[in-house]
Amino acid sequence: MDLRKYIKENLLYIDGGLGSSLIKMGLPSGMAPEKWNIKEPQNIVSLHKSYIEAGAMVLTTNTFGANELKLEDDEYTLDELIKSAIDNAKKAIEECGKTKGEDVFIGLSVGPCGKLLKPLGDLDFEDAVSAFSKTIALGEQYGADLIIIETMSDTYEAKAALLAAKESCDLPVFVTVAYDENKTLMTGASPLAVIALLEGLGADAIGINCGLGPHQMKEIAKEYVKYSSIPVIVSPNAGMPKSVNGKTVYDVDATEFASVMKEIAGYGVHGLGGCCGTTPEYIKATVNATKDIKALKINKNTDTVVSSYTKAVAFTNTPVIVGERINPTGKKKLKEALRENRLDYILNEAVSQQDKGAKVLDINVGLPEIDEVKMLTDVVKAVQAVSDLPLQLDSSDPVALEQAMRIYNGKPMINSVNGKQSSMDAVFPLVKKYGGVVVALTLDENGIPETADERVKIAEKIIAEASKYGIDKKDIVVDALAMAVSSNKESAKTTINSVKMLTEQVGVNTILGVSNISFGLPNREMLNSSFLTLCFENGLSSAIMNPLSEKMMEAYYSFCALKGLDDNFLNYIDFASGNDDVKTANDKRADMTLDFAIEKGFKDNAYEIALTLLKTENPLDIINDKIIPALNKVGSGFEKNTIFLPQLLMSAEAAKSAFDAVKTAIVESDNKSSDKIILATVEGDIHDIGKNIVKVLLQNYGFEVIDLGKDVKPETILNAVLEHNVTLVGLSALMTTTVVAMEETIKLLSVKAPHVKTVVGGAVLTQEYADMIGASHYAKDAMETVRYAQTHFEK
Amino acid sequence: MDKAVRTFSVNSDKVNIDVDLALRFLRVRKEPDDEVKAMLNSCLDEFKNAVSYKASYRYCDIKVENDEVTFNDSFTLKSEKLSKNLNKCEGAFIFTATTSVAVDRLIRKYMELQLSRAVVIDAIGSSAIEGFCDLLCEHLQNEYKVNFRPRFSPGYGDLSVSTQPLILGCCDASRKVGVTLTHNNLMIPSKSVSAIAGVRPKGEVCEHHSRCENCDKTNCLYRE
Repeated sequence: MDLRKYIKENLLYIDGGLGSSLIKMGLPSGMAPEKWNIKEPQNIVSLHKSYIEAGAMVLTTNTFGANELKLEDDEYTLDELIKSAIDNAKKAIEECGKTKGEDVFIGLSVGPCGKLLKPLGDLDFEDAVSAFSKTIALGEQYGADLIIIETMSDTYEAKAALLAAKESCDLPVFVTVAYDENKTLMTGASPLAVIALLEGLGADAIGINCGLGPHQMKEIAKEYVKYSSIPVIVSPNAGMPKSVNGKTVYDVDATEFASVMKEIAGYGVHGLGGCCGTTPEYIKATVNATKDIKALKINKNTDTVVSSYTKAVAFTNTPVIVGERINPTGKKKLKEALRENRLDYILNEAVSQQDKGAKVLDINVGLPEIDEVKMLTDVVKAVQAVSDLPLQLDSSDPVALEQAMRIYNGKPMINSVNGKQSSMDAVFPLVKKYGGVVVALTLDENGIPETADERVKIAEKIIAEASKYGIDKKDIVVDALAMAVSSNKESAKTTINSVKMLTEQVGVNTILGVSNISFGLPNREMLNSSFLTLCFENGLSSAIMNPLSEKMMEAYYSFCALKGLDDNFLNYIDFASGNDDVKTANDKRADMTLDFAIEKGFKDNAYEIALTLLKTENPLDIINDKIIPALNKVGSGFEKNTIFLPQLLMSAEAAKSAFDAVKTAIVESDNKSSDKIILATVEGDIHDIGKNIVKVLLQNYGFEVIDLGKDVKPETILNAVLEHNVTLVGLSALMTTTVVAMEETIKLLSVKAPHVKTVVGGAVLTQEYADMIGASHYAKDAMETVRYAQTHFEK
Repeated sequence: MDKAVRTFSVNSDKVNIDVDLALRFLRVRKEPDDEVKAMLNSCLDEFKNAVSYKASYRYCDIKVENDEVTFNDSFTLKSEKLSKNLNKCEGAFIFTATTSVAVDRLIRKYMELQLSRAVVIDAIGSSAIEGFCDLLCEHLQNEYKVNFRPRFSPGYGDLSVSTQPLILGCCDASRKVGVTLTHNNLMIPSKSVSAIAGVRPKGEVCEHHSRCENCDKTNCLYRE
């Protein structure tokens, strides 16, 4: 029987709690339940049989924790645990006189791997994919009929598991996730964000399990049915655990459970099961309560949705602003930042666009002289660590796109595909595999058509081609191309007409890079903002634009307010009054001096004042006579305990921003090559805040810091020393347990690079400890590292 | 008492964040300047907005023998200091409490963009998780009508952090509250605490000591 088809048209009953039932059967506390597959197979078989007799059509194997990252000891191999689990399920089906794959299906249970993925945790995304792949491949090999990825509480891990399933088997894949009372996953994702991600990646059914009882799941179940276009599964706990006469019982009994499940089936949910605390009795009651109900038809949701790891952005009536600033075309500073691998510049661009109202951020890092494949994934990872907005991955290189789509945490926008067959052949397979909303440009082998009719035809061709891959129209957003009105006075009209026709006749969402319209004309924002309003009025769903442009945002907020898209004018008022605040605050700062701004830690003022000073003073004089003395004053205050860490760092940041201002005026040749220091938090340690403090101060004092990050292996540090020809290495460790790794690093350096000095610091270190592990110097705080570095390089 | 794993969570405004403790973590030893105060306040606001307090806990019967403590007959921890802390107790609560990943995200964001804020939010997080543990222990003591000995965590004295998998496993921390371990047994989210709180034998007088008085690491940078 075709399970994919069956669950689309019928109610499918899945079994209930396994772990909680095994505990009742006497599973010793602390023992991994999977071991019972081999130690007490009759218990597992008998539980499976009870579920079959209760009416379950899907058995979940006792493999929830069977993952190479989770295996605690080597008593049994992963292979043995998974084979025995599936054999037990097969035996139960046989003993019940049922047919596997017809009456009853074996679902390989795949639970979380117990580790958190980077950047929050220390598990690499690809390592997670590989671990899940091993479990799933074994499951298919030993005869599982489907894969059940369950109790996921992090979107990134759910993505890794689902991708692993898609890459290592052809079985149907169901994915269910666990919400808490706030209706978000443990790592923060809303239901819509999860639905967008999992549907995009091609799950066959999605839903919720564990975490909550049936009552608390009702609202989330409704959202799932409303927003998804595939079958939805609901497997609640038997309520919450409570204590009765010293025993644990769940507070929802089988009858109550079944009556709520009947209600939930009435919303349009197709997969019904149970989780912790539910028993065959619960499933039997659920089957009895719902067996006469006909499964509701699944409604296709037509909303265009992109997501990040927490947020979803739906293209509804309110236009979506896509921030355009992370794109090197025509941006000198960004080009420099990319060439010098200075991601902090890009991260600031990301955050400031979000602060100004962008809902999606475009990420384009294409420059001829850089490795775009690596840079795009690096930037995507870095931006996702500071911003929770969905991203638009923008590249003409399909390899760069694929790598970025793979590691992106969420359902991305992709920029772009066009009507050329070669473009569609390259991009659509990626969208099909990883999910995403793709921007479709209305151009093809013959270029950009002059008329709206022809542009719409290309859009229709792209939509038709996409549907061959199973990519829905909702996952395409058409860019009808804004061309310079200065070279053809009809061009704005053509674009606006195209947007109107695409919206009204084709029923597809649209996007425009609006600023092209004014190319070659003065005061471009004036034209752009009016064009934006005209396009919005004709149905434009989203605009790729500069959210830092006040005129553009004025047009956007005004449009939303006038069209009734801004309840109580909250956004309009917020925007309009916010601008006044900034102006008055700036006026107050008129007479501030640079050293005062640095000492007090006023970062923005320090930058502005330094820029003003540049008009009358020599850049090097500003550094030597103003910035350095202010910094020294704060530094020595810190050493004398009159100034403390927060103030020291605020001053350091203000000094850095003054340096940045002055640097704009220094010609390359004035930069003398600076002294280089390597910094690292040692292997096994993930606390890098202390190392980062040292880094900021060293940079302030003009040292070049090669920051190797956290959890760094001794060999990596040695290699960097040799590669960069460095003579001073700073090592940081927070825990006693990781000081061992610090000692190993120092030993390795003393053998392979004996000229290198080491300076160590961190919460557990003392002078005695530092001496014991053979460090050249112990620094009790960041300033002392600076002082030591100064003496080191004077020699 | 039954031995099921339970969870406890409270709204952000219920937890008292001891600002003096946060300042102690920052090693600020005098009244901070206005600029620092302003930043501290804005960091507090941002922290309170992001934080989500969660804990999972489980009651265990314990046996203390020599320098070993056995929990629910299922696992044993070897530590002289812990044995001393739990001496004569018949039961203990094991718990894992966390401020959740949103706080880690906030710290990581400012680590890239504005380190001074990262440092301050980090200290606020350390103070807040202590406040939440106090609240949790108060809740447990009221709910189960017991009194606790001072709570004891892996990493204190001779109780190694390598015991973390057993302790987190015992209260199903990864599944219930999303606290996981790195390969080196450090907790993520970073502002999390796992601990054992011994139930005082009936009739034992509760002497009040501050947390620092209970600790024998007298050369600690953060000692009161």
